[in-house]
Amino acid sequence: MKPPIVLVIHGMGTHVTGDVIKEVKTGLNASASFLGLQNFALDTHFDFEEYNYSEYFDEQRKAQGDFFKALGKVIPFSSRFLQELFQFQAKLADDSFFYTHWLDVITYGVLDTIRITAMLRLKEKLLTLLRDAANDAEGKRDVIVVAHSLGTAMTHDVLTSLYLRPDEPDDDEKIRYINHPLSGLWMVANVSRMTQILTRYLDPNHSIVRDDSANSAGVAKIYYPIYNQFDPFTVFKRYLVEPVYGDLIRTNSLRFIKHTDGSKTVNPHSLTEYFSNPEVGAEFLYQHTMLQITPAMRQAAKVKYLTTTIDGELKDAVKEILAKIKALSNTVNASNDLLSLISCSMQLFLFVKELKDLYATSSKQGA
Amino acid sequence: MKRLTLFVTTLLLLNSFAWVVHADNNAIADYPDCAKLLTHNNVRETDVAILQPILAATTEFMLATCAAFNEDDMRALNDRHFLTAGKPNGNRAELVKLLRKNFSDEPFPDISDVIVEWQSVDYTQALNSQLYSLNVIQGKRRDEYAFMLQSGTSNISFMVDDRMQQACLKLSTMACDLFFKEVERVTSVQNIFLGSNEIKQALVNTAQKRQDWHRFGEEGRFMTFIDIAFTSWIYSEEFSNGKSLPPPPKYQFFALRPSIAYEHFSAAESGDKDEMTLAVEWVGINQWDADIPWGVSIASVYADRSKGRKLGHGLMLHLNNKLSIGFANRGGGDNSVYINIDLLNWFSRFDAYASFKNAMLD
Repeated sequence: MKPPIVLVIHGMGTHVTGDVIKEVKTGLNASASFLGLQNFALDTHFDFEEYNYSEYFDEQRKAQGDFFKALGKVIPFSSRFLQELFQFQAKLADDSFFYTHWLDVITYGVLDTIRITAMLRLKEKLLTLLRDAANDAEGKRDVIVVAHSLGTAMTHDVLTSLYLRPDEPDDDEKIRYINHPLSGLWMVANVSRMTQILTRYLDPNHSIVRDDSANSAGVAKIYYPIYNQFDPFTVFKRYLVEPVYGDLIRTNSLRFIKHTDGSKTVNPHSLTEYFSNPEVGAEFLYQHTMLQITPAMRQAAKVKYLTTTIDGELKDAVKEILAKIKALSNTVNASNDLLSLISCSMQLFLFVKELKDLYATSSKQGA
Repeated sequence: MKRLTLFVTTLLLLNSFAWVVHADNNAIADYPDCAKLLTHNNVRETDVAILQPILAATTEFMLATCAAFNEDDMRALNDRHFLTAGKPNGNRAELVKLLRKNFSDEPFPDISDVIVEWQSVDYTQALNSQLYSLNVIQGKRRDEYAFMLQSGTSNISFMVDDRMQQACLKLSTMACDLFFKEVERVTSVQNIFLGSNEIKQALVNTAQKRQDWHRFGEEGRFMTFIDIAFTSWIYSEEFSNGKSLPPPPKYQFFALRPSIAYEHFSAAESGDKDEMTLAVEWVGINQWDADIPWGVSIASVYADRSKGRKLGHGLMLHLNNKLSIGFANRGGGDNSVYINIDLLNWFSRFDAYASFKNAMLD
């Protein structure tokens, strides 16, 4: 019998095909190492697949930039407003942090035709995987979905358009949990409540996207929403639904990530960092493999992991910025007009940038 | 291999028996798609003796639903007796019998409640793809399982303990995790055809919609982010439906859309009559998918001529998503006409866009 299929959906920013799978694998291998698993070979336990929407978003952004750059070369503008507008749009072709991350959120939340195209591609990919997994010649295979950051929003919104509730009549574009359940759904750094303010889709707090239980219809056998309290993207409209089968995993650690060139960074939003934490990675391996992982091994892994984390002044400084994000979150709701919501999103990203700079400074000091 | 051949032959025999009660008495050989279902991984034989009659019954039922759809899909959707070859209540009675005989509350907590609930499931509900789904025991977290008929019915979870392990070994000579998987596999056979049909339909329709949106992006007029946001705002009700992804819109809308036009202004000085100009569509609409795609925008053109008004206002007509022709009033009774070619679309057609773009961006 073949191993489970893990479909990984990346978060904000530009992602080269294959990168997001490497991020998950690096994290799971780190957790396996903390667990002390000998001769651990991840690829014997899972087959990884990915859905990459960043290439499509980049393609759209570059087309916009190219269009306006071409116009600027041909016509010397005299209107100041048009100049500013065109210059702003021409900048969209640049891959800076602010533009790629913020624009991905705005593209997803406001530019509906691009969002729907990307969602349909994911929906088709999921249906194809589920169909093939059910019909595999060696036996029905498990399908696990792992989504990160903006990918959690897209995954949530696609799953609500894919699965029927038990009391709904058949629909020729939808399937039912009882016939085609996801074996696991892992929503890492869940931002679906943040984007829902812009998309006005179904409220993630009450949607079918969760574990199926006697209390509520769902799409997955087990469900793990996860956040790190130092991850700025999970402070704004934090997702706090407690699954019946699964767990709402809260982590609160910061680590210096060592790079091959000797430099260090801090990034609590990193998918690798989430899975490196045994609270996440060890739980994933325990639930989806037949590996012998005892409670004692998991406890020892957590202790080992904690020796690699940082504490002290940095955490206090981070908390101050997170408090500002929390205050901003409290001022926003679905009744705000679109322009004020976009303005809030810019404010949020400025706080994120402030935090990013703080992490960069402390990394240099700690290096 | 011999065992497999024997098994398939047995199923075929069972199946032909089922056809006796089927109104139209068709043979499975008439429907290759149904015969193919016998090779589905979940239909393989089981070594667990108590599950063998269940597998035979669920397989027979699955083949009946397939044959009915092949024979008359409209009737199959509306006539449950026809769909199920005279067994509109499925095999739940057999399952309940199996559970009652072999499972007790002692090692399997709450099983008697589950049995009572399953016996009272309402079979009069409308046919849908989950009506005949059977799972019985579904794996949840590691070592945690739930009794389950279908979503909305009992979903009582339990953990495996030593007493339960002993009961599983007695029932199947297997550990509970393997035994429960086998129960899930064997019972799920009943709904394989209806479940496969469901996902096949969903995939076909989703792929079609995805292609329609791809055409919208490829064949429609180029849209700036402002145009996309504007179109999204116009269609906000359809586009914010979180339960169903909509088809592409019939119309594209444009706002503040700049482009390059080639303008002829007969009132200008000689040598200055034909100029490259900047055109801006203040607001516009385009029916991108009509037999002959067309649209119209309120637009202005600007050209830096030595004499005459630099700015003109008028209408721009769009044809075939690629070409626009405009008319601008320059005041004082003077008018100009211009032609606008969608540069991105036009150049990419002739594979010359890359070199053009490089020249522009250098």
